[in-house]
Amino acid sequence: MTTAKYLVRRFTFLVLVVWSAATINFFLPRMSGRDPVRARLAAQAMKGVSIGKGIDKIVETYDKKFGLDVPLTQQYINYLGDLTRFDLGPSFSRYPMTVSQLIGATLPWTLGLLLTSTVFSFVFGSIFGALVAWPSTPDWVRSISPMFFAFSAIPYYLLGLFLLYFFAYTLKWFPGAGGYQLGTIPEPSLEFAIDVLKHSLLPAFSIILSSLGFWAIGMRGTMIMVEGLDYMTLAEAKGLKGRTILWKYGLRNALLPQITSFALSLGFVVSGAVLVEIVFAYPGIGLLLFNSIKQTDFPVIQGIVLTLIGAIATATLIIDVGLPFLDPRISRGDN
Amino acid sequence: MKPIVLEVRNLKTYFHTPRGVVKAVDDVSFDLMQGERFGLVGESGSGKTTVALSLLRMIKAPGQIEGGQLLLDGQDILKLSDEEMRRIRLAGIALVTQGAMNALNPVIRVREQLIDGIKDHDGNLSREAMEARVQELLSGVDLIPQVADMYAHQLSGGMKQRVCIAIGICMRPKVIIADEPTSALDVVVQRRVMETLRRAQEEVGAAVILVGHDMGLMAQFVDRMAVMYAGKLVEVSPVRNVFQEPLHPYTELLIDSVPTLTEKDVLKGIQGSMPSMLGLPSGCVFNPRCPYSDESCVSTLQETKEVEAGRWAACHKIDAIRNLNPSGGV
Ligand SMILES: Nc1ncnc2c1ncn2[C@@H]1O[C@H](COP(=O)(O)OP(=O)(O)OP(=O)(O)O)[C@@H](O)[C@H]1O
Ligand SMILES: [Mg+2]
Repeated sequence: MTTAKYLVRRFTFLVLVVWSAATINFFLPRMSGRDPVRARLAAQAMKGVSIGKGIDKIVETYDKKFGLDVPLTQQYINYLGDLTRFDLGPSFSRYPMTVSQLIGATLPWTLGLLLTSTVFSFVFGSIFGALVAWPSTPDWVRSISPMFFAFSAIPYYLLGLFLLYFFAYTLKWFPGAGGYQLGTIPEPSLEFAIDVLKHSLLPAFSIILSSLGFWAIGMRGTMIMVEGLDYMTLAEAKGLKGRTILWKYGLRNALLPQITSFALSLGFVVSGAVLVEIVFAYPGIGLLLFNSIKQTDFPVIQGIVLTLIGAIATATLIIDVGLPFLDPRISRGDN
Repeated sequence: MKPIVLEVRNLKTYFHTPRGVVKAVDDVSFDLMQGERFGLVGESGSGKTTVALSLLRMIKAPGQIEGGQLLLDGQDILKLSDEEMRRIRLAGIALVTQGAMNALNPVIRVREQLIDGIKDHDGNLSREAMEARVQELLSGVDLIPQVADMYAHQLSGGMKQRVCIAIGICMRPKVIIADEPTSALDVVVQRRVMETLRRAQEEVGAAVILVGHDMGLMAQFVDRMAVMYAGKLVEVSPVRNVFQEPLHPYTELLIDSVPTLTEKDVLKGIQGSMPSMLGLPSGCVFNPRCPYSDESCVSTLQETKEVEAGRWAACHKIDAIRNLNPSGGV
């Protein structure tokens, strides 16, 4: 099988995964038998909004508006069609904003914060873990490792709260909430960029501090295992420089299992965002999800869930396609 | 006689384990002649690999070389700095491990693994010179040029072993240590690989220390042989003499335990087992299993001495045993 053929097959699989997720996403709420429009109206009525006799009329209007007046199969086809244009319909709670607009406005914040800090902690955590396991590493490197291992045992939202308390509340070095100074208008200026950076440092730090140790522990473990293998003995007997042995023989091999878990963790970046974003009131997708759940805004929740599934499926695709380049033993079935 | 290339003098390598000191190599001495094939045999755990790794100064904690001299062309490599020692590895003393399993890095190509050793010693050669060297090395061990582009998992056990031999000779070392190089291969492949090793070694002019416990293989391959027991060399003799007239009772029993086609009776073993390295018996370490031992064997240790020209052994009872078996052998 050629690489091109493999890629096509693998991509088709990705589309299938997203499609089935979308389908479940479509039918599950409808199987509950609840009528979202009536439920919402009833909820309003409870709050004292007078609806009166016109209820059927209102329901009819809304059904039309949300496309609920056509048969289920037609609804499904429309839904899939909309989906290909990333049109996830309007939000309930923030009508007339659409779900895509809401996700589009929040996703960059999440990706910017979480992707950067996840990549950062992966790279530095892995290198750090490898060095801790390396016999000729200076002792001071090894002596700071317990600190990182301890931090990794603390959930990042707790760590976030501590950081908030010390650096934002007590010392007032950093702002305590938000993605940028309230009242400023997001614009591509240096000033705004610095403001964004200042706001993202504490949340980023809580993620990095708490996950660096995680990557370091994993890497240390595999590195120690790799060090005992025959090819490491031969590498040393070959009189290779320490550097060559560490990077080309040790790290290169110990990194493989790390990369798999890293790619998987990338898929969970978005879902991992929820707690950090709540703690720091960061305007990302996690906070959006939290608020939407509070307001039972089904379209937004569904949209975010779909985004998550898309993210995880894409991450898996990247591992599958990329791993054979790093580990020749994993073949795509082409030899 | 050929000049000596490596003198091992009173080598002591101990492991300081929590349960006590393991004298894995205790006062081992032997000479290695230029270009000769030298066998090192002994039971599992007798310290063969520890000797091999000591010669490369690759003993890891809790192990340590406690004393002795390792004279490579007259220079004591135990006195070299770490960086100087690194340069000796591969260029002066090369190791061929049991390559059939995972002696090769699984994620980089054979070419790269042949080149990196040369690079870290010679500095950078031109691309063409490197490629020419790679092809020369591969054909020298009977491998096709395409092997350079392959990964370890694409090679058979025999091919991997050949790659390991190619790596071993790439800097034309003076000494090649082959630690059980073929023990994971089937007999037919084993024989061919040993042929290749012999040819490569002769071409380079290196001496080989072949570590193993296959007496048949030793008989075919080596010129001289050292027998190791519980960290000590009990006998060093030309291989023909070892088989015809072993000096040390342990050697005698070792040869006796090799099955032959003519004697189809029960396999003979050596009664008892090697003592725990943590609680070695006093006197001669072999005395509890030795059929000839007496009080002198328990009370004092016989130093290794030259029993006859070119033959060394460490045993009190050699003369007595010789009188028992005047024809020599058993
Ligand atoms: N890292 C270590 N820590 C403690 N003891 C060790 C260590 N490495 C080796 N030893 C001990 O040193 C002794 C010699 O081991 P060595 O590996 O040299 O034996 P060997 O003759 O090569 O055996 P085999 O035929 O099984 O390869 C053994 O008793 C072993 O228990
Ligand atoms: Mg061994």
